[in-house]
Amino acid sequence: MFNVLFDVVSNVLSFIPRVLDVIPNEFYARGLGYIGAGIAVFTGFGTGIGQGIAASKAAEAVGRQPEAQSKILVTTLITQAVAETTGIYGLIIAFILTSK
Amino acid sequence: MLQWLSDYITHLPSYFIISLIVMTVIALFAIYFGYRVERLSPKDKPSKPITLVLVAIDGINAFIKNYIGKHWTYVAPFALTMGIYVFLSNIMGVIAVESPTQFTAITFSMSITAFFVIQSTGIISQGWRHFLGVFQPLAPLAPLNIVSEFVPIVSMALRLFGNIASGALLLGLLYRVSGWFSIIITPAFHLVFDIGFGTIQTLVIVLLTIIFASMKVKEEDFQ
Repeated sequence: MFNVLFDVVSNVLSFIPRVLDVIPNEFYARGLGYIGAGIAVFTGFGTGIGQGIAASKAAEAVGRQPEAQSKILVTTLITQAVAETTGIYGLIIAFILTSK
Repeated sequence: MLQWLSDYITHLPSYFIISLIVMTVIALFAIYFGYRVERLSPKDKPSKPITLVLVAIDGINAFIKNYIGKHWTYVAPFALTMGIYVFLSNIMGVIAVESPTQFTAITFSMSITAFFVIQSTGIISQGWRHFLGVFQPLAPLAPLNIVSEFVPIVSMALRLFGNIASGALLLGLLYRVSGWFSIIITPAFHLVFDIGFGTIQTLVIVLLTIIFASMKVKEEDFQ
């Protein structure tokens, strides 16, 4: 079993010296652009965590005082929309990269 | 000359024509309701649509008066008009027409106009002392304060553009994937992305304009 593992790992690692032999053709820039677009959308990671914490505090506040629910709903929608902006910046960079 | 003009008009992008149509519809409604309300004497009982319009505009004016105080007449018309225009533009996707707000030309023009309205509110309320507001908490932080006056232009425009354009992209892919089944699948997505996010983004952009303008008003009694 370990023989199979060593074979697989050595075949994968043998690509590393051959990375510098790449000859760019006309799709090189667009291909790397697509990879960059995928990395750019990763800004949604922090945005999702932050907005989830804010939503949990809003749910706690409604649980503590149920008659203030409509005010808390309006405040939550507005603050979530403002905090979502940085996640959208990553999406816009991805749009620009994939349409080049 | 005439050839150049006709060439220019026929090569205008489609979202520009749609935006002009939306503006014409809003202008016609406003002119009609303004004419009817002006001809109302205090003894008449107004009909239902006029009462609705009066109640809505009174409510919004009271809300803005709460934030801005004495000079609310300089901010309220722009805020309400921008709100109605952005709402109607976001909903255009439901009618199978491109919405103007998914193009940065329209959103940046809204946001630059909002910047001018906010700065004018500061100048109207405080005179030339509005420009000394950048030195306010600490004088060495002035470059930071100057930059943070110009950043809302970019952030408000890109927030609106990003929300509506990503919804439109998703719906385009969905229509292409589902072919004839799109009648069953896509109404829910239209409801969430076009109408839901469109309403939320309208609220956000109008409220942000009002709040930024209220931060520049200093010396009145009503804050």
